[in-house]
Amino acid sequence: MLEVNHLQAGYDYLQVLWDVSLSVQPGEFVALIGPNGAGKTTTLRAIAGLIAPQAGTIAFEGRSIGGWPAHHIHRLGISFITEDLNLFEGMSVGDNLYLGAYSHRDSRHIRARLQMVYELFPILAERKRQLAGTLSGGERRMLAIGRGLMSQPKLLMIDEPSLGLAPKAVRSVFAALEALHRQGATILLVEQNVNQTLSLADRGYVMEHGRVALQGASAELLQHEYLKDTYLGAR
Amino acid sequence: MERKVTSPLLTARLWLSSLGLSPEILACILGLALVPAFVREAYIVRLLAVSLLFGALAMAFDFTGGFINAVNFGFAGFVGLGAYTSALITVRLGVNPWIGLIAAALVTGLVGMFTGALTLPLRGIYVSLMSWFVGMALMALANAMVDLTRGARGLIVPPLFESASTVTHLYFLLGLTVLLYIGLRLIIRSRVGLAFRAIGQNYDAARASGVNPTLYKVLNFTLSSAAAGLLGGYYGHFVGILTPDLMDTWHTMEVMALAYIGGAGSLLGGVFAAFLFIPLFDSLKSLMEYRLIIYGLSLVLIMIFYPAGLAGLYQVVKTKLEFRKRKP
Amino acid sequence: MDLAMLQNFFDLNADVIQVALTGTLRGGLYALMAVGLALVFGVMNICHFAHGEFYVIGAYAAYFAHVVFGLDPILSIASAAMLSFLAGAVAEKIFFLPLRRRSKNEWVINAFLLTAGLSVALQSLFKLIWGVRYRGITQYWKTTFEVLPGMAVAADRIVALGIALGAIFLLWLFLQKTRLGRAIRAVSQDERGAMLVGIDLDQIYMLTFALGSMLAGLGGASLLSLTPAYPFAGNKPLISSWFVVTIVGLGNVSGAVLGGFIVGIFESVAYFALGQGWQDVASLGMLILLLLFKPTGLFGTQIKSVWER
Repeated sequence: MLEVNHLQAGYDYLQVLWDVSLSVQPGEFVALIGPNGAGKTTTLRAIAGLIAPQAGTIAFEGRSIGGWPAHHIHRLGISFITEDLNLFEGMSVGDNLYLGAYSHRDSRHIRARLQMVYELFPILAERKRQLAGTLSGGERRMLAIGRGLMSQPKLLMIDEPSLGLAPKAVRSVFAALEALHRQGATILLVEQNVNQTLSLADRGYVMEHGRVALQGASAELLQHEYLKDTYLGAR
Repeated sequence: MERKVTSPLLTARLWLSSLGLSPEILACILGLALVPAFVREAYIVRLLAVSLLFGALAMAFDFTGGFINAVNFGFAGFVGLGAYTSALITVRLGVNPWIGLIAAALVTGLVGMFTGALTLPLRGIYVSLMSWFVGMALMALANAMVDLTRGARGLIVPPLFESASTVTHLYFLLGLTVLLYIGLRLIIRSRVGLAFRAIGQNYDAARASGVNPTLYKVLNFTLSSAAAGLLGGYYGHFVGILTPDLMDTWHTMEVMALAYIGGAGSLLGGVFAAFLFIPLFDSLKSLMEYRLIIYGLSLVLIMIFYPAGLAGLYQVVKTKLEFRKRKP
Repeated sequence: MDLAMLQNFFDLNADVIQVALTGTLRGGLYALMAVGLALVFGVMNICHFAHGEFYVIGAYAAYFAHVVFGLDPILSIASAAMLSFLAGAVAEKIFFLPLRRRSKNEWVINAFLLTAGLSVALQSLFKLIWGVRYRGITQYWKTTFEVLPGMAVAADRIVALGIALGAIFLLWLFLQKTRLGRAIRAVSQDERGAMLVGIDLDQIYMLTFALGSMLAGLGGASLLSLTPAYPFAGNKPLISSWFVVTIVGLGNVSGAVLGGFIVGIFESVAYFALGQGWQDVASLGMLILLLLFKPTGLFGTQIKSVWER
């Protein structure tokens, strides 16, 4: 479904990604882990079209999408939930969700998606008239994920959903991701929380210094000596 | 590599370049100074004088816009204030016009200082708005105080020089412009100029690294306005009649266009733009109609395609030429 | 002209109600113009100094539609609105789109200078095409309304106020209730978030600029009998609507409606109390003081970018 080959990308004169290759199959839950500054977020940004690749290819469902504008890529079915969420803070929760389905015009379909999001995150239904900027950290995360789901994406990319959340909120966010995965959603997740992430994901990629250093099934990665030493041992 | 400075020619050149006068600039000054010896037509001499005046105004404008990155959108108001100050002192009090000129610089500098202080809590576009409002308030005052300024009927201003020769004006303006350039350039090259640029690029970072933005912002506005007032005062005596229309915003736009077409932060760019545009418009009378369209569109195109302006273009060409020279 | 008429108006009836009435009628126009300015600033971060030129485009369009082509008043005003909408869309495509592609860090200042250049160029272009002749009409509708006993107001003024308020209300509905309207608000709040939900920023920018221009054009068209079309007719409304957005805070769209009436009434009171010359001095003095003590305007602004550049 998603094929990234030898991707190089960065910001202005600062190259961050040197050689990133990864793939995601339909229905898969793939985790992208690694230390700060390894280039995980940059990888997602390049796939989502927020930055243009300097070299390498990005293909989605067989179509090369490298360098396409972000709104175009979104319409192909890739939803990207950023680390800082990029919510429309001065607008209501309901408006934020409606905007998530901006590329759809069929109001019946939109209502059905809204129903689905409200079932996944009941708290959002309660707060639908409230301004997004007034929500708590966990609720904001949920709203961002909900907004990302409104367009019925084929691939959901989520950057650090546990960042800055209380343990309880982290658990509910992860529970939601697990539920989505069971329903058949394809997910590409970036996380610092290696243990918890790998216990949910089917496969994982470990990034270091702008390259994929290690890859494999989650169970294998959890057993991998190197990973145990660098990430798991410390926790 | 080290090289001892021995030749007196080289010493002179270094000394001149510390004043910002490169051989090219000196050649331009010399060329201008020689024009009256060869050209008899008073109209051409007058055109060059007007170009110099506008170039100097663009330079004064650029001192604020190009360095502390604050567009003084009320600039024409300050020019007009200078013009009226000198004219009124001369006309109503019968004082010598030369003293009027000095008073124009002082009064306008003072109002500039006041405006700079008003903009202190403001940033970015709000600074432009504030200076615009001050400029318009000055124009409104000139319009309202009809008894003093005669309003739109126009105030007759006595000339500066006994002889009506435009050559005198050309030499005086040439000297004034060169002095202004050297003065402004010395400031820009000093620690003060460094602080200006720091404020222009990032106000908060500048403050955090110990630059006192209050002092420098006010200083910059004071100096730029004093220069505008001096030139405005001269303008009044030069053209002989003043109306509040001089302070209208579109005059600001004219000077602003010259400064930005010349290249923000280049000082001399605006002077070259003035020498390019003003004689061009005047020599082709049919172009006068299109004058403001060309100004406006040039400003638009420069902003979109080449914000570095003529000065940026000059740098690129110069670097290319030197590069080629170095290659055997 | 407007002011001469006002002068007579006051000589006959120096009355508080009348001052308030004039101010309100004038305020409608300012509100209309200022909402356009605030929208363009809030969504695109452009300090729009060529807004008055779209007012002039609207005025000329209405004049030609009504006088030359003989359309009825409402159709004339509607076609003027449509034309200024189109003119705004074209201007955005030609000037601001390429600027956006090239100018990132210096956007606010470069866009501002661009509009300044555009304003000068357009004014001279109008002058070149149509000369400095005033092109006005005596009135669209040949009736007057007696608002209060003994106080008649030309139907044109009342209708113009109605059009202004109606247009603002429709714009509000559009922004609140429609898909594109929501997208406009979304872009003003978070451009990256907007891109990530599939909003085409270029399309929204063009729409926003066109809408803003349409509001200005509507103002020029509906007040044609009071201020005729001529190349520099946009200057006064531009300056006044800048007063409004400065007073309420740049980019504050809803505040601009109220601010329009505040400035309209203030100007009318100042004119009554001080006369033409000193009215401008008073308005500007008040603005300078306001900017000094409350730089973000009376109602504040949520636009952060103004402070950054």
